[in-house]
Amino acid sequence: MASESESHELLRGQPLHLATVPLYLVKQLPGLIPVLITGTFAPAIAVGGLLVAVIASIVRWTRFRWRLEGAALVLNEGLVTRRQRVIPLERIQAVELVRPLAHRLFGVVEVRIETVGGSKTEGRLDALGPEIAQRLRATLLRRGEEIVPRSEPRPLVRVSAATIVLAGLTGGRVGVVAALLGLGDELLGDRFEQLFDLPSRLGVRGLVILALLAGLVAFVVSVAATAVAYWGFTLSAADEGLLIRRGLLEQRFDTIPLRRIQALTVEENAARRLLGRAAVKVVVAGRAGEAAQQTGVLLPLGRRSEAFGLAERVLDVPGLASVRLAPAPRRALGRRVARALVVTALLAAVAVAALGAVGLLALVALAPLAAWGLGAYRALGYAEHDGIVVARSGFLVQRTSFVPVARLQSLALSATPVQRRLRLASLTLQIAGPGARSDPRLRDLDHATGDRLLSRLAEAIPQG
Amino acid sequence: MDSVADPGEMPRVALSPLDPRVRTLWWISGGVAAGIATLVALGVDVVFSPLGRPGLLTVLVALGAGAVAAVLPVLRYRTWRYALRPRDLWIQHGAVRVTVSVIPYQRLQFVDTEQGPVGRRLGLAELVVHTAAPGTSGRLPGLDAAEAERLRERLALVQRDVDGV
Repeated sequence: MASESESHELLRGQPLHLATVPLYLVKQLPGLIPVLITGTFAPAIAVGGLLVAVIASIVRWTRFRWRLEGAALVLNEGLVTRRQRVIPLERIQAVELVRPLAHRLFGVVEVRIETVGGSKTEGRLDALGPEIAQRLRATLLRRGEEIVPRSEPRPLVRVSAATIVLAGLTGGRVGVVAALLGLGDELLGDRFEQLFDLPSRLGVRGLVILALLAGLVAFVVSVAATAVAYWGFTLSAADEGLLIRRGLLEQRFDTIPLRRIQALTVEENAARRLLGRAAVKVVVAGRAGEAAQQTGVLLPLGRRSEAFGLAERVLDVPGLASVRLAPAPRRALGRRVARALVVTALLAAVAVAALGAVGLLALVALAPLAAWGLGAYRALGYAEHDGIVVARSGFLVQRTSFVPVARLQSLALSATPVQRRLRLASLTLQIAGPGARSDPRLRDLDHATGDRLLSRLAEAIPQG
Repeated sequence: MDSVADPGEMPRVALSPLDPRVRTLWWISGGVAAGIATLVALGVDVVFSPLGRPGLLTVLVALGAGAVAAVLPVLRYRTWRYALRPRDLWIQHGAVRVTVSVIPYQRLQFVDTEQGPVGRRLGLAELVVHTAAPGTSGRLPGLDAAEAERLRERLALVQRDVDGV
């Protein structure tokens, strides 16, 4: 088709979209404010300052050129100091198309290029027309293979506005509440002592109302934050990987190459479990920090069956959604009940020491703790299905992780003294993810089973 | 502790202890630390003599630190086991929580060897291997320096699977 002229167009050194000039100006505005204020006294300064800013923006735009050369993306910029950056296509790991508010006004897209091992964005094209941006992304992610017309992306998920709000309502973002409390502490500062007066002035009722208000504000903020981030969420499958589109104020277009997916997790917290809802996240290699966790969301919220079906389709393993998990040995329940007993005994001891005989009431805590232990035990399960290890655990937040054996980096089988006594062990599946704490674990396997799995999975890791 | 030594508890793969010379290395470094602690105690004793009798603190610290420096390397030595197999590296470590790690050479990103002044004298090196997983714990103290070097050379020959990273 148009592939020849298309490739030709991509190979020439090209400028950014003309809209880059006003966008640069917008970016400089905060710095220009003092100049403009001065301008109210001396208009010449304001006009001069603006002129300099306009010329600088135009020069910056004219000096920037990008082109594809061989199997690399080449960026040239700078007037006095000239910089050239060469990004080999094979090192490119993700290409994000982002549309901040100002970009949407001009109908352009910012292209961010992330590479393997880079912690920050290594290449940035400030503004391109949406069409050429899409084509460039497709080319970059095809690793320098020849350009062929792209097949239409097949939609996999579209999340309705109501579901996004429900995701926020059931999200349980404790972090936001904590941050707000921290902010309150910051604002109070040295007036901290007055807080001790507060009860007498407000009374108990006043305090309770205040606490409820703070909680409500935190809750509303968290719901709004989720809604803004995931508004209009769609996921589709294309040749170059999974395409994600989301965001209310800043529209984001992310691409997750399928071969970069290290693990997939279906997450159900207590509230969502009651509603039969779940979220789906993926671990993508080589990305660290907050942004990684956001781009890793394949489904902010959906029906349980939808979530597991998506896991099956993304990993392309038929029957994965309906695979039966083997429960943990009964002995694992004993470990959890023992833990509940010990914690209750400690609580009661502390309470009796502090309050006297009334402290024995703390023994009531045994009921919820034991229930928690039972729930945590019931959540445990593992399976192996067609090259995928499935691990489920967690009571408050139940996670079912799917890890392709081909993506395992290393394995660790560990046992505490109690586990050794009960002939149990936990197997950690170490993957190229955000950190050790998030590695999927098969908790409380029978020790012999754990041994066998360890040896067998180590054998199964592909040997080049 | 005894369960660490019990081969029935942990996987069938035959794991061998570290090079015994590593105990010497730990004895020397522990001895140096104990010596420093004793000197500090001596200084404090000369100025304040906090335990009433002059010299008592120095004697107690010297005995305590000396005992720890003498015993700890023996206990530490027992918590390590390893095997360099044709395709993967097995490391067992831990006294309370015992962990067996399996690291396939195929997955190694890079290999570090570290050698302090004492280690160089004794012909020992510490090996640290890294995979793309931040959770991998591939530390092996007290490996024969020549063996560490051999391993590093072998790892350089492994053809890596780029997509698996």
